[in-house]
Amino acid sequence: MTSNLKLFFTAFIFTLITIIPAYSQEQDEKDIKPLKVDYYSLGDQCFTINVGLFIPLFFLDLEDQDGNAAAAITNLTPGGIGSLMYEAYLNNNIKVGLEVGGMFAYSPNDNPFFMVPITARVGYEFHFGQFSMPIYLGAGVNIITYNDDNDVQMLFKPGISLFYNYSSSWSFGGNLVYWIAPEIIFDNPDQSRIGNFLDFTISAQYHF
Amino acid sequence: MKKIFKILYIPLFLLMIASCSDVGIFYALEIEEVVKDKNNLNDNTIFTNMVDTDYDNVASAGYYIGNASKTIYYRKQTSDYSSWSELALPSGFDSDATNPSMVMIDNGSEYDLYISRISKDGGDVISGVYRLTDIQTKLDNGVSSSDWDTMYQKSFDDDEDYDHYTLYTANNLLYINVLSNDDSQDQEDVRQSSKLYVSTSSSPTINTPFTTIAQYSPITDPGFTTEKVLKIDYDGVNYWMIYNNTSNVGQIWSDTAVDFGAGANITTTGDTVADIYIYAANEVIVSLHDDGSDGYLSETTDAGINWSTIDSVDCIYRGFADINTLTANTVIVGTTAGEEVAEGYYQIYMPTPSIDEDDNFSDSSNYSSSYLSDASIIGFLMDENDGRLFCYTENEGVWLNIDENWSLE
Repeated sequence: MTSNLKLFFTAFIFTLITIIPAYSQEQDEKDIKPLKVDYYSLGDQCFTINVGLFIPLFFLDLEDQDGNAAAAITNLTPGGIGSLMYEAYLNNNIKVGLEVGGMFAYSPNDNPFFMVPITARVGYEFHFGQFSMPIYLGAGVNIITYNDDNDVQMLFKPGISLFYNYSSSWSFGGNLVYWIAPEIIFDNPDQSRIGNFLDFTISAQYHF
Repeated sequence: MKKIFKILYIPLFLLMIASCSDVGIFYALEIEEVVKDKNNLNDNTIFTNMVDTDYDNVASAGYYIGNASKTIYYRKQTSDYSSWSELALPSGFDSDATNPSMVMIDNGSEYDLYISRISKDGGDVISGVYRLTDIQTKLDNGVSSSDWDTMYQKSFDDDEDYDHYTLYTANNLLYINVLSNDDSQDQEDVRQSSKLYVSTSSSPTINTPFTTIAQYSPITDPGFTTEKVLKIDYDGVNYWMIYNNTSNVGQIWSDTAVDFGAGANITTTGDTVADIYIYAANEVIVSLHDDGSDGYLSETTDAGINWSTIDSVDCIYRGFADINTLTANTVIVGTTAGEEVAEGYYQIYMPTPSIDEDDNFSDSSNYSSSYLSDASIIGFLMDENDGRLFCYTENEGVWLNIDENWSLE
């Protein structure tokens, strides 16, 4: 074997030695699935503070004098609302929590009107990059106060939020919640109404 | 995880103890309408009583006068919402002077206005009874402090027990309850003595200075030693007097004699008396209550021999007026808070007294929107000639009803 031929075979073998492992690695990479990272897991919790605008919509009378459902204006001014909320994640998307809040508005004679909702909540949270969008339903009790009258009734609050996850500990966002507040008066059924309200709040959320 | 779900017990517990209210708050808001403040009185003005100076029963001819204790207000009847003005009062008093009582007595051609007045600023006390004669003419021409006659006035030194005068009128006579207060306590209800006098003339002359009360007969045995008289009235046959004794038990006296002599009929109730109303001769209604709650009305048609209960309420009935010109055969009665919150007013259908709690001569939305529906009411003044009904309260100001609608004065 001449020296040139020896040199050729050496280079060929060297080339095979370098190419074959590289080709094998590319094949392995195609077989590896991307690694999925969950934002939250069971045991993760958060506190949220919400403040914003309370918007009275209408009172619904399910059966007026003609036996038909009728809506009437609330005569309330737009007001303010605030709440504190604790939530715990069951997994990356589902969380449960408890919210306690308070709102105020005014009647035509400038009498203050208050409601204190205490609701349990369950929600499903979508994640889009650094954004989270929970949709949820709250249910609980609503303590209503007007002049010297007080009442405690059921309350339902479906809602949707959008958060920007600023860091692993903090998120900031906004919420839009619809209130379905029945007031059932057993002694005077004619006075029973379903209050319909809307609140729009901004939030700061701390994760731990 | 268990701890998380335990938190959910809180709203469930609250719902279990939820008060199923009998008042629809949302309904009340739905029907609420703006109740207007149509006059210049402060919203917190408290009148202890009101009088109407219209002597000849001519519409829009007289004045309304309201005693707000430190100030006495008056306004013309010429329009529904003529402005209130302050009445000039007797001078020589300190800035803390008050007018505990005010009555009006017919002098034969007009009314005379009598007030008691007292000041205790700086320790020394000045206390007296004053009269403004021909009140309507005086108001037409303008009143000054010097227009007041001093019926009598007495000064008391700083450490001296002082006299406090309360005035009543019945059958056009003036009664004076002279209460001697213990200065060391400086409270009107801590008294050394209580004496009752009745005038022997409908226009007693002035006696100054006073050591005795001329032209006033002392009522020698009124049945009390320190108690304060609540009210004195006349039904055309009998004079009536109510007060509560030292055990807070109501005493109701009736007698044909002006000075409640030995022949007086005395009813000792089991409860505390609050007010009395004369509907007609021998038809008398009394308001009683059990220590601030369980108020009820009792009626007698035989000068107090027998009594029958008309109706009851959780709080206390107080303040009556005949509103027959607004709604036939009806007397309005107010309520006031005791142990329970007040309930506004009710209507008594006469002559066989009964109360239907749903009856209301005024517009229901207007009434429920006003503060009257749960106000502590002191009394009413009905101007039949002008169709105006005033309601004065402890905590919600003075109100006027015209054409079934209430507005704030």
